[in-house]
Amino acid sequence: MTTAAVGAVRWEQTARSRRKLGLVVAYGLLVVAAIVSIYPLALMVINSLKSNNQVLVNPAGLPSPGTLSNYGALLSRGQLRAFANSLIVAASTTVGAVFIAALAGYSLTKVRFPGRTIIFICLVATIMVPVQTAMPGFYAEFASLHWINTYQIQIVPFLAPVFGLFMVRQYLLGVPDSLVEAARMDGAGEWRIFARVILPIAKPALAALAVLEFLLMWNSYLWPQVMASAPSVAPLAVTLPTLTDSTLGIVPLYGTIMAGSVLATVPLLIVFLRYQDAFMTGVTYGNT
Amino acid sequence: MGAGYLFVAPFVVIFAVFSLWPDIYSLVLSFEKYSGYGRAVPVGTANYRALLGYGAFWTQLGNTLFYWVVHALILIPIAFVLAVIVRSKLVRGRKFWKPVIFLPQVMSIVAVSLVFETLFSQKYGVVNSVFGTNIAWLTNFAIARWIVVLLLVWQGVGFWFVVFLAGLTGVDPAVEEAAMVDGAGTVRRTISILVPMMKNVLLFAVVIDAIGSMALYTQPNVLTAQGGGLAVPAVGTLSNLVVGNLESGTFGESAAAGWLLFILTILVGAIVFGGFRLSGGRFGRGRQR
Repeated sequence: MTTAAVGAVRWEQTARSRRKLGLVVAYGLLVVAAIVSIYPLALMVINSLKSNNQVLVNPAGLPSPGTLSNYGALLSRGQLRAFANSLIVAASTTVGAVFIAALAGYSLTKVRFPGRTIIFICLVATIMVPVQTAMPGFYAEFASLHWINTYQIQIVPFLAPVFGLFMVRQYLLGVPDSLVEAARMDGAGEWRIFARVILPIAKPALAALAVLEFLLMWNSYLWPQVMASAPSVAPLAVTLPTLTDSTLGIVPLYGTIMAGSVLATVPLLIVFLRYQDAFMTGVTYGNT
Repeated sequence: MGAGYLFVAPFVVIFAVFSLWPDIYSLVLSFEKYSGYGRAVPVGTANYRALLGYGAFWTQLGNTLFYWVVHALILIPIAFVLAVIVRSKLVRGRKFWKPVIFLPQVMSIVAVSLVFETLFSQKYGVVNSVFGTNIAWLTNFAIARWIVVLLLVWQGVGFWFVVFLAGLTGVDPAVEEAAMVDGAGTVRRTISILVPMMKNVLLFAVVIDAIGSMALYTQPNVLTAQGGGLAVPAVGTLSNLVVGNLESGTFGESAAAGWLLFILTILVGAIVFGGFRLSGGRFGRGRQR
């Protein structure tokens, strides 16, 4: 063989072994990422099946014996109520916010009226204001109106999400005006156009917004902790960390807390499995 | 035309009454002394001066910036590499890897913070139990700050990963594959080719992440303070000054802290955005050459 041919064969061999190495590294990284991703979820479920003492003595192992007592304890400690509170608040805010944002998005893109651009610019300009900034003023104002420890204090302030309006508007800007004009020619009123033309067309954007809104509301902790921490209205996120054993000082009841964490994760998992695409496009909506 | 105003009205009214007005009222309160009842007394800039003269303010400002910068620096490379791998045609099972890596984003934030507490608790934690160590992961605050970062990274990778994956759909897969099969050294080259192509995606994600990080509250508190309390200043963030002062009835200082947080958010957003524009200029020149 000529040296050139030998060189070519060697080169091909190195290329092939490098390719193999590349694949091994790639799959290796993915497997590690998958384990790291899933392990805490698995640990949560496993430890929810151990008694509180067992979690302290044997935090890493499998339950022996397994018990459902933690799930019973959630009941007796009023956590079902907290779970229902979470659902009521997250679901009603999601439905309301999506509807109100869709209505406003339609108005700002497809109905011509003076000042619509200014309204939009003013709203978007506030997107950097954190909820913390409003909190003291909000508390001072609404405490006197007896809104503290109610459902509405957890729902109403979040019915006008500026990022949601932004998402709907971006989407509707890509919808040709001629569709709306055609419906107007046919004599359809604005409400009819919104309900019959815009809502079906904007469905992908609205689904993504709904999923994102539900996730945000389900995860809210700061706001309800300050505004609605009474057991009758507090969501699961607020009540879970407070599940401590009073006889042992403030040692958390880890088994019960893990059972509650499972309860807090199940709705998100269901929404995720059911609406996976909307879920994952939701987080990237701003740049598509 | 009437319908235009009518349809946008619910949004605007709710926003004005429940967000805009409280923001403004907070600004008013930040120049007053008010305990939640009785009369508010004007005090000028006393609340701001009190906060800035308070050691805990600077500690918590430092923590807020620390959590943001460190978690983002670790997150970006991990999420980017994972996205490049999953996107590649050489790797199978994209429909499996994508949701699995995204999974932490789907878990309740309070729940995962509590799971991390059981992982790193000193006496009863999984990590100390498995490795036979006795490290005060959560009560030694120098270490605890890193556990908070770990939690943020673990939770955030899925988000960045999906953002990068979406961005990569606009790029020819051959670019990443060629670099990937070439071996380890070329990961850097992949990044130096792909990052400029995905500048806008990155800008969006980095800015959103920075803005969100300034308001960080849930993770450090649930992870390090038991019973739903506030974390100590050594691990707490600026948000704790808003909540702590509200709970102790010092509305003026709470409001001042809220407005300082807003100002910080604007500053950080502007700096990140400006920084990107500058490095964007460099990418542009690189392409021209």
